[in-house]
Amino acid sequence: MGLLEEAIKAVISAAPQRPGNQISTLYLLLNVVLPIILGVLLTWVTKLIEKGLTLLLGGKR
Amino acid sequence: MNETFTLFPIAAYWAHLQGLVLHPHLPSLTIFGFLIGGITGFFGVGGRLLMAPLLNTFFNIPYNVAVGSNLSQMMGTSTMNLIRFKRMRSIDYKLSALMLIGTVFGMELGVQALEFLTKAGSFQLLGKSVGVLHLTMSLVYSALLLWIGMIVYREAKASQQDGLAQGLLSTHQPVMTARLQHIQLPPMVSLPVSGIEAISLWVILGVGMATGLLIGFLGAGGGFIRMPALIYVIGCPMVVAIGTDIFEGFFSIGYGTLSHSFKGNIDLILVVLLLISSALGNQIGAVLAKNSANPKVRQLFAFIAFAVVILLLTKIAFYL
Repeated sequence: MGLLEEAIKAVISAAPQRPGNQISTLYLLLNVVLPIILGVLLTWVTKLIEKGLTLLLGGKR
Repeated sequence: MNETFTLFPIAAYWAHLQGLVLHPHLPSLTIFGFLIGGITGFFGVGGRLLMAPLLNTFFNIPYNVAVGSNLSQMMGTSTMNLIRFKRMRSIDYKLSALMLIGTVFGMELGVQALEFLTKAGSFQLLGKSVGVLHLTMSLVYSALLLWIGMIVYREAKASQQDGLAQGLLSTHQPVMTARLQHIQLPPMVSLPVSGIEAISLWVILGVGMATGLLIGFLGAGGGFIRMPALIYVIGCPMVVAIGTDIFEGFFSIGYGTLSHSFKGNIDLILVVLLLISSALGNQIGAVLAKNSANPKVRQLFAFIAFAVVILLLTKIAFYL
């Protein structure tokens, strides 16, 4: 929970819209690592969607 | 009261209690990401190039943040492409590594150019203050989208007439490949996986640099340049080009993300939002494309690209 709080703080304080934004090492790491983790998770989600949609559209044909 | 609070009052209230700042255009951005993902999945080319200029046009997100955030969310999509790619043996790792050197160099140039424009401020034109970054980026995106739109339109027209897809570049392919492969500027390298006996290292570095410049400066994936370049300039077989493009793309986008991070150009909340929504839209677009064999449909992308160009130029005109 501590790491999550730190991560949220880092993201908020580094937001480009925020005046005097502060970029931390954790923010740099998150910018690369978070999309990769999400990409891995989304691979499985999109595979399921693909299967479901193919079945749905194939069934209608 | 912002759009997010109106549409998601409970979530917004919870976030307010937690001290979190939610993006004011959260719902519209989600729909926007979904649509851009859908266009990318359906047409298979150039969709990501629409992301940054439209983020600026519709949501007033500065170009440097739009480019950086778009690149960071592409880190997720390139991870997905890499996981889904089944033929790892067909990747030319040597070519990827050599190209990456050129890409990193080009990308750094692109990021620095964007940083220069960001800091350039504004100038007076017809009595109004015009942002250098906004004007330059809008014009560059307009030119590039116009060019891509014309290529896609001609390709779609040709495939309608001939019954098969004939790209604009394909007619010049043998001449261009032969000329570039005959450049004997040392050092020469061999690429056994691609079946190339000898090619000048400078040609590979040049291709990498051109794609890197596009990635760093425009936040585009670079695939629309890298893929034809791998096939027509370097002379890779199609299957090797696909694998090498995905593999090299992952690392080059990773470097670009890190480089933009150092400049503070990435809004991570925007990244997460766009990544999830565009990935879902992309999948639906790809499935719909499989079920639509009509070559006329590709012309639609050309019209979307032309519409975005008109939108960008209209915004410049109003800006003036």
